[in-house]
Amino acid sequence: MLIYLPVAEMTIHAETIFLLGAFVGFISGVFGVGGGFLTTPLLIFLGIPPAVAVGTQGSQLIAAGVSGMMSYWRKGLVDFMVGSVMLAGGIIGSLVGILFFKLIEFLGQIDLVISLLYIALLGSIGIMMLFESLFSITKKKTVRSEFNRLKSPSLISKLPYKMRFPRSKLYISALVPGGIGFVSGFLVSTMGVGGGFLLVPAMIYILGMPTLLVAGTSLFQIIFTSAFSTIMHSVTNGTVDVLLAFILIIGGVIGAQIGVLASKKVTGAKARIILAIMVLGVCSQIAMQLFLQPSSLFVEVRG
Amino acid sequence: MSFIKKLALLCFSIFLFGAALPSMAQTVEDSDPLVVDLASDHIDVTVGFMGSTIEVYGDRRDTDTQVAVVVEGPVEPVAIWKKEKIAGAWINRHYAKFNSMPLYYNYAVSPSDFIEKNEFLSKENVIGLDAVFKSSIVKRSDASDRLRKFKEFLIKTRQKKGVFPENPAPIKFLNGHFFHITFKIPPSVPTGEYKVHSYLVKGGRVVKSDISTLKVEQVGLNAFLLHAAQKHAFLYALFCVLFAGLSGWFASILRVRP
Repeated sequence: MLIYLPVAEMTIHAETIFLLGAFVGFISGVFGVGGGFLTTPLLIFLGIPPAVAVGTQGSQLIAAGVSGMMSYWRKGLVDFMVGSVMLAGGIIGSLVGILFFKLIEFLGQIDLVISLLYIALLGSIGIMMLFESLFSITKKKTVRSEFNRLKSPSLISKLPYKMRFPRSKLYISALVPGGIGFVSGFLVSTMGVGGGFLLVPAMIYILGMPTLLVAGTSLFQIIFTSAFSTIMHSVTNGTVDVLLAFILIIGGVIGAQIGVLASKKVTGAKARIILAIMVLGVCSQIAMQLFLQPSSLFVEVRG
Repeated sequence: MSFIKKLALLCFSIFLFGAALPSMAQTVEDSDPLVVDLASDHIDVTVGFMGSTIEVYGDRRDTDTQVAVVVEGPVEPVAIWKKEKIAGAWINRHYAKFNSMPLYYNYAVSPSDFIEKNEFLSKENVIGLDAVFKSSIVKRSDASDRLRKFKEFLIKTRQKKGVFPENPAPIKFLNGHFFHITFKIPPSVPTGEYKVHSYLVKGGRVVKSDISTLKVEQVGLNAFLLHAAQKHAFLYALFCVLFAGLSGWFASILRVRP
């Protein structure tokens, strides 16, 4: 069914968007990630303007985030205090990200900057995840224990504005969770990526939070940062397409249900290897577009 | 309505029709050398919009004339970037920016060699694909690069989208005077005000020119959403956020139950 997207001002097959949403929902159900790293490039690949893809994608992160966080919340596995400090950083980060987005759009380098950010982020995460999961399969020991020895280096303990976070049993500078939130907010508003797979290790290794509380807390932070970013994108750029979001979310909710059922059949390390390969696949696809000679040397940009 | 009222209305309309007939004949005789009108002055873009057409009807008095009709959509600034290999990566390097580029352009001519016969019109940028550049101020980062290449790319990509023509649309003459043109509008149509210019040419000079406008607008649900996105961006985004949150919450309830 062809539908006309009111904000993107283009016609697209609703089934394609629905299947894309369902696929990403499935991935997020199986692996417990937001899946933004897949949605945004795929939407751009389908011809959605990058600005609309990034602006709209945030709302899908909210849906995935809420459905994930609820189950942690029921078990009491969300540290709202750490989450709120991270959120404060996230809001500043997404403001900076939106200004940055406008600047590179003005400079005509939006595809270059987004490509480079994706390659750097997905490349490093994919490789880390692949090695970590291979390591845990062969040695039956996670890298985490080695990282734990590295945690709280002297620099972090010297930072000012120390705060007590009773739920996580932490006494640490507010700048640390704030900074992690800042990075996440920046990623949401520039790339439409929640950055869960960056946040989770950062919260474990840099912040030193109890592992049990990490997933729920990072989701809590991502939900509100994405909400803020969606509203900001709508108000400053007018690039949120509610019809596109609607179909993506419906697809995502259905896909996630199937994904959760499927996740019971895959073990943690094996699932992480598949996820790592997928992340690296998207990464190399973007890299190829940047480094191989394009079929046309010219490109049209609005404005 | 009572029978008498109906009868009175019938008599009145017969009277009107009878009175109008001679005067109509007169107007045709004294009429303009060229009359052009659109079948509809608006195109409604709905959620299920599959593309449409602009139907132009016209009448010329003198059969020994040439006719051209140009449709021009709303304008928007556009930049064409040329990639160059820098440090192994293909990066946008030089640009040509056009500050006012029509998002839709199409034209129809009769006879088919109208353009060749009336080169002065294409030279004055009245008609033809080069005319899309007429009102644009060009800003370039490197003047040594050939501007022609940037223009060719712009035209080629818009032809692929179906918003610029490969060839001029044909003008169908029903007799020597009355004609009909159909301009195709693709599904991914840019919305806004479209101008339809018509030209009647005789002996290498424009005898009569006219302009009509039509609106291409989103209607129904689409219009509502676009209006909300533009005029109430905050509430619109808030609705989007709430919808997303509720769907996520709903999904988590579904998950708990089984």
